[in-house]
Amino acid sequence: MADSLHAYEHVRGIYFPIAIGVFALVLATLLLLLVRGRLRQTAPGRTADAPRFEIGYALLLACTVAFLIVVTFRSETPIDRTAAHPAVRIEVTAAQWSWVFTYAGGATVSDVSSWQPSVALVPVGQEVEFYGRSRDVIHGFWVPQLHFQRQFLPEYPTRFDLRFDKPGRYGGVCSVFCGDRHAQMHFALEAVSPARFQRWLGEHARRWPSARSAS
Amino acid sequence: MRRAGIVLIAWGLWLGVLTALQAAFRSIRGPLGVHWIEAAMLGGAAGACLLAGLVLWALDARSGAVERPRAVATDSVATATLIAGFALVLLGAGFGLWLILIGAGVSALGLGGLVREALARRRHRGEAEAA
Amino acid sequence: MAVCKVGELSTVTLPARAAPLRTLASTDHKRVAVGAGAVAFAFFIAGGVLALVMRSQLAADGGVVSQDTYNQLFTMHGSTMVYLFVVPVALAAGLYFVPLQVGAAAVAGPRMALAGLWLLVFGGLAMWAGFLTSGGAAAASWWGFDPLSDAIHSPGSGVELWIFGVVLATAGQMLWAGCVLVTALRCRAPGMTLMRMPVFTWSMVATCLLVVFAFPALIVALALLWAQRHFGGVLDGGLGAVDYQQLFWFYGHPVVYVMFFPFIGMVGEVVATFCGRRFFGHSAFILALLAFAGLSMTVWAHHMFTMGQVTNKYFALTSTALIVPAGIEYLDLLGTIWRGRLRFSAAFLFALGFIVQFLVGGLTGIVLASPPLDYGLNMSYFVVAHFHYTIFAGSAFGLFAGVYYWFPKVTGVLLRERLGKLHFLLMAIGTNLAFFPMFVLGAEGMTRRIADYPSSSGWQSLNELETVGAGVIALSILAFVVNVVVSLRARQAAGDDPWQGQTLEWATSSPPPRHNFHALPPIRSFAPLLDLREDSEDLLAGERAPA
Repeated sequence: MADSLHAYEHVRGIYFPIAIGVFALVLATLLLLLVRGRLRQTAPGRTADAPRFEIGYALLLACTVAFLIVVTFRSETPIDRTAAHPAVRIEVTAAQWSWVFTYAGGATVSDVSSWQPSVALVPVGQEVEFYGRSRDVIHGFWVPQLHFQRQFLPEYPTRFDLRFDKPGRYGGVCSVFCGDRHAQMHFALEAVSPARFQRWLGEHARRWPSARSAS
Repeated sequence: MRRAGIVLIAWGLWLGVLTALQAAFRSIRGPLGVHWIEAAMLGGAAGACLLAGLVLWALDARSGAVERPRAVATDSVATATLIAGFALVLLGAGFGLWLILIGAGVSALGLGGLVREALARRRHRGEAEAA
Repeated sequence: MAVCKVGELSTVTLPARAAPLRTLASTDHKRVAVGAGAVAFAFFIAGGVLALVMRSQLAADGGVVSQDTYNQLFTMHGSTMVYLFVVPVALAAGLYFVPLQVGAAAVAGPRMALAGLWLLVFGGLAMWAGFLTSGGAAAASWWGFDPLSDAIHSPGSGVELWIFGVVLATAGQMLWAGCVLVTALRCRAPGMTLMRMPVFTWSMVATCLLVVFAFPALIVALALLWAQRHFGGVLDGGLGAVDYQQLFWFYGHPVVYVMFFPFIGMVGEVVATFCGRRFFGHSAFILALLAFAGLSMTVWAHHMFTMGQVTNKYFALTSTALIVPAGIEYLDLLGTIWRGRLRFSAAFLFALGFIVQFLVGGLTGIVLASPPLDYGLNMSYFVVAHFHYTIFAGSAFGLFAGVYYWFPKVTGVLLRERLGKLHFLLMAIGTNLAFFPMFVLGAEGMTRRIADYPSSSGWQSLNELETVGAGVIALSILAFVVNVVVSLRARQAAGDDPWQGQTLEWATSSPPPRHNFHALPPIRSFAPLLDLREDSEDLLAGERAPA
């Protein structure tokens, strides 16, 4: 299951509170020490180490690391996996500074350096495999609403699955700096019902004959 | 002083342990596996550090005698000249043979200056020992 | 015990030497370090001006600069700050103070130290000369990653000059690291054992280990890039691009620790001095530093999680494991404040700023170390915020703590305390205004390295706030420059030891003589001067006690 959205939210829900809690704890400790130190009248303390305390503390930190790693590994493995039989397979070609989505049957959607990109449809609730590469430099396929991105390398394909649980529009940007019009290299995906998706595929295949059948 | 090499030896061993840890991830199947370059770079650094530490250890073990005082030039225009020449040679690789040749000339001046400094150091040591 | 001794050698090669030439060609590690610090600071100002232009572009609605120019701006801003400012200034601090802290008369390899200064100067000039070429300066980011940086996608001299500039500057840094490392290992005064070296010296040892063993990867990466640009066939295809980044990041992660360790070391010295007590957990801190440095050599591919071409889980594990040594170091810093008698000088305020703000950067780094989170945040302004918190809100504050602490030793003159506190206040406000909103923008999907963004995104107001913050930072630096000028003109003599320091650099004049010490106090711990003070305190207490 390639559910990057829920994986991100699950892991974030653990990491962010811990991070904020640690920051608050250290800040509070520091302020307490500073206030007490400001008021201090006697000679400074001379205790310069506490080996057993430090070792215990290090073990506590190590346990925290182990916990975070278990959370991370458990969430990561499903995201990195690609389904053996995805419902839909979309080929993506990135180039300076455009995105071209090619569907089975020959339908294509292309976006060239625009903040109002053409919309490529995807079905809701199904595994959609993206199979992509770049024609020139490294580009980054980032869908912020799904909290997922992958880099597209020149001539070397990248495969990943995405699942769109909610219908609606999902904006995309190129996340890896790729030259002059990097800021304009947007794309857009819209998740619709599988039935509407199939209709759209059929219409598009009729309107634009398959590139492979062109002589 | 004999202990100085221990820092490099210990750090090299620590890097070695961390390199070996990569092997635990080789067993993970799927599109992600250990790439040889990851082990080569880290293992290379580990090995280089360990080697440097052992060399330092050996050097320190041998030099038990009191070290002779070093004589150091208070300044060295020759060094600055040599670096200027080197920089010009490097830039010449992108801009043409003419710059490489100029750089080589300046570097030669710098090297010559370093030779003079070395001779002056030898002369100074000779005078100090004669005194 | 073998000791590096030096004797005075008169310049017999060219007898009549003009004074300025002497300074430019001096082999005195203190002069080389001050020269390097000055050159690095000049590059800091230059890189900062670029940042101000970038911030104007992002706050304005239309175009302040063209996209191509903006790409040059952020490439040169990042390159200048990393290759020409923070790394050189970190190593310069070590070059000045490590020989003093270990009681050495000079640095090991003084002419190599001088060579490093000139490599920095020529490297910086070469890099910036790109602005004078017709194609402009390099515009392929401070990573120079291919294929964007190859001859097809970055034609012209900009990237060529950038490659040479980086190679020259890096070579100089490697020479400095060798000098400082050998000085700490082999040129210590009698009684100065390894475990009696102060925390700053040990932080420099860790730093120099990273420079010596990780920086060569950058030279290799850039050599391959140069060959690819001129001959091709070296870094072809997607896997070639991955190989470049493997090499680059093998350098690229340790370099950020080179930009951290010296500053936590300085902060450690400042905290101990202004809390009037011995540094807490000295041995644990040293062990943590070395463990931290070693671990930092193993985390590099966390910059490549989203490529799908590296062993994500190994790098996630080693990156998250950094919590252990970092936590120990923080414990030791807080432990040093515990039961101290505090003096809230400007230096101490900057040290406190480092402790609080670096933590924000560090914690967000742990967030990014988790691939599921990195997939959602990589290449966004969240990352930009993270590294500006560690390097600027963290290390730069640590740097100024060190500057306010050591300026009297280097110049013999005190910096004005009130101007220093104004500098701190402005810099703290400006830094948080400029960089905290970036976490929010990144989480909302603002990607980095973009010259403009759609107004429908709603990011305008936060960007304007960040630009105000950048302006406040600029004001704070102005306050610092004014402080330096005023202090050097209306001189308040500092004396040998204005702060009641604990380490050997305070046992000599300000500035120290050419060969550093006329005499050394007895060395019985890592805080020799504190030992002497505590001895006399104990003696007095003993005399006062009834017989």
